[in-house]
Amino acid sequence: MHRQQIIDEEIQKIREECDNYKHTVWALHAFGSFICWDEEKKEKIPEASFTFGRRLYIKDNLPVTPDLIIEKNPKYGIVVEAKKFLPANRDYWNREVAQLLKYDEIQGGWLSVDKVEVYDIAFLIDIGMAVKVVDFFKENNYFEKFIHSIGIVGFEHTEETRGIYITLKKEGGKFSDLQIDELLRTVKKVPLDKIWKDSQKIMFYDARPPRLHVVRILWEHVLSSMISEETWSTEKHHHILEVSINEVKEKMQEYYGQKPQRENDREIPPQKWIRDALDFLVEVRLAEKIDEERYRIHWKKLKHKDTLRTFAILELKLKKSKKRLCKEEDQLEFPNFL
Amino acid sequence: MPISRLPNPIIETQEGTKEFSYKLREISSSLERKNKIYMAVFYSKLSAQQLLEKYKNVCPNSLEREYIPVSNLENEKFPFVISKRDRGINVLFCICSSDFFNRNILRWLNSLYPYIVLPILKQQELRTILISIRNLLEVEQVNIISATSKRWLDKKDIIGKKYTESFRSWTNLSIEEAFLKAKEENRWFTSVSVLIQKKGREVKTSLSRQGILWTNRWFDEYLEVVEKIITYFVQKLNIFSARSRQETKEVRPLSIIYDERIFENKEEREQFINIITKIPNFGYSILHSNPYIQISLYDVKDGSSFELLIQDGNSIILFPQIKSSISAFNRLVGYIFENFKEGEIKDLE
Repeated sequence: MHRQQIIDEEIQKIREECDNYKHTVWALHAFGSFICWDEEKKEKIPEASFTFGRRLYIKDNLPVTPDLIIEKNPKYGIVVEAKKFLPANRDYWNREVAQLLKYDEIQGGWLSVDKVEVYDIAFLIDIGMAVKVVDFFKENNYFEKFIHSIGIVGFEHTEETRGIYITLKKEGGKFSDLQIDELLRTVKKVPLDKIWKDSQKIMFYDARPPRLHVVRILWEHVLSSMISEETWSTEKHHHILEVSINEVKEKMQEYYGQKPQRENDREIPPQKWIRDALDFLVEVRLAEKIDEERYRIHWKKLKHKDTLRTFAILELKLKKSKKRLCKEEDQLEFPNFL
Repeated sequence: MPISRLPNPIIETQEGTKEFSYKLREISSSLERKNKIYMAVFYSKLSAQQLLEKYKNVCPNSLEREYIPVSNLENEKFPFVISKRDRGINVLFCICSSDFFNRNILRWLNSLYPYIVLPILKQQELRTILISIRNLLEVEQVNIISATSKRWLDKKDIIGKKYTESFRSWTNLSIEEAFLKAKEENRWFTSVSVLIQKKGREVKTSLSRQGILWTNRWFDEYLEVVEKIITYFVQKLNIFSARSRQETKEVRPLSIIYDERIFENKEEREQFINIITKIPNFGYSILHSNPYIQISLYDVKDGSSFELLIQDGNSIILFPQIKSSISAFNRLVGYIFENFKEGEIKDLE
């Protein structure tokens, strides 16, 4: 295969990983909005709410963190786990079931009340895998092992002439709320219009995203917002920002994730994701590490205008730094300003 | 010549007073053939002096090197005047040759982005303003004599990823006829020059999409024309303002709506992506390209960023991010209007 093809395929793979992560976040938003929506009145149920990555507790006060907690009202809630795909190795599937079984033991930590009267578990998975997961549950009699109702819901994004929809459909299991159960028995389409505001505010959930997804948002939206006249270096001809991990983390959480508001809320994205992203910038010589907490960022116009592509190429270059991969890669030097 | 020794380079004045207009009239009567009266509306929160200082930082020595003394005006001490209005609106008046204006003043205005923002006039607005010149001056016939336009290239003429071409044309049509013809030919004007017959004299006037107006003879009515340009400009600035998430703590997107389904097929969407990713001094990431389009864009000069989403056939949604300044919004929307297609800007709340 031609070198250029190899690099294009690798970049496409990174792009798809970021895309899959984004679609999973969209699915969580869509599912939360759907549960909190009053179909008859065509409005949001006033007392309903959902939140990402909240810590609930099981016996012995041990914490569990489902991807999404939905509280339709103080009497009914749903804990949600989402995965775009599961690897072929069934050990991972069993691990996932074990995780879901932990959610079966939740004792408290909900939103408006400590304990809702009834709660269900939802497992969101790409619609292409949902039937296989249901079969797996059936083959191993897993549905019977749950005290609470568990529904396996398939999701996918569909693109129609009128816009993008997040399609939800229950492929197996059940929900104790009969209205929800009935509605999800057939395909439920949530238009992206309904969730676009939320999807701009929350771009991360509890699962670790591809590193470049964090790096891109950091570079394009967070660090860019920090440049000013004062950060411009006339000597280097680019902006030099001195930032602390904490400062960057706060911004990421405030605008694209979740800042802990209540006692059991988790930080999304956590500090380690931010550190990892900043370390990537250091590796590709777009930043310097001042000390354990602070970084000096060299924010500049990238040689290639396509940021994600540039970072993807730099990541590939990092991985295969000793190999001459292709012409394009050779042309893209690490910025030489340090 | 150092800026400090330029002959009275800037006079900051309040809204066009009678004396000011009188002065323009007086100068215009003895205007050298090569010189014109230029008017440029722009938005800036900085004072004229601060802008000059900024220019020194952006392009050191440039004004000194390229300043061309305009012979008559050096004595008049009238190279250019900035009239300050409310809420950051400024009007620059300049009497000079087109060469001086383009090489110095316009370059100065453009290089000071994001401190200076120039308007974007839509075709309909250009047409209305030109008609208002005809009405205000109470002349029956105002004909378009020359224009620069852009047009979409036919499929067979597309070379590489260049979809449009610019060209200059000469004509003698009325305003209405010229705009109708341009629409039929799928062209849009970037600047238009008209010939006005007034009091037995021929007056040439020109208006560009950036709202730059010039004439070779002053009439007080031009101050009203400038007011019209300001009105259109302020309308857009109001739509673009208070969108930064760090300012509003909310997501306040806006959309550009088209009256036809222009993103219907893959080719059209690819064409749009090729155009939008060529916007100067913007970085981007194509997050999704087909069938829906999601592109993240950031302004390298100003640090503003956006997410652009096209999910149906006839609209573009722009989601502001942490910082999405008026200047960057204006530049992004202006670029789309100029290089792709004009649409109607609407609040999406």
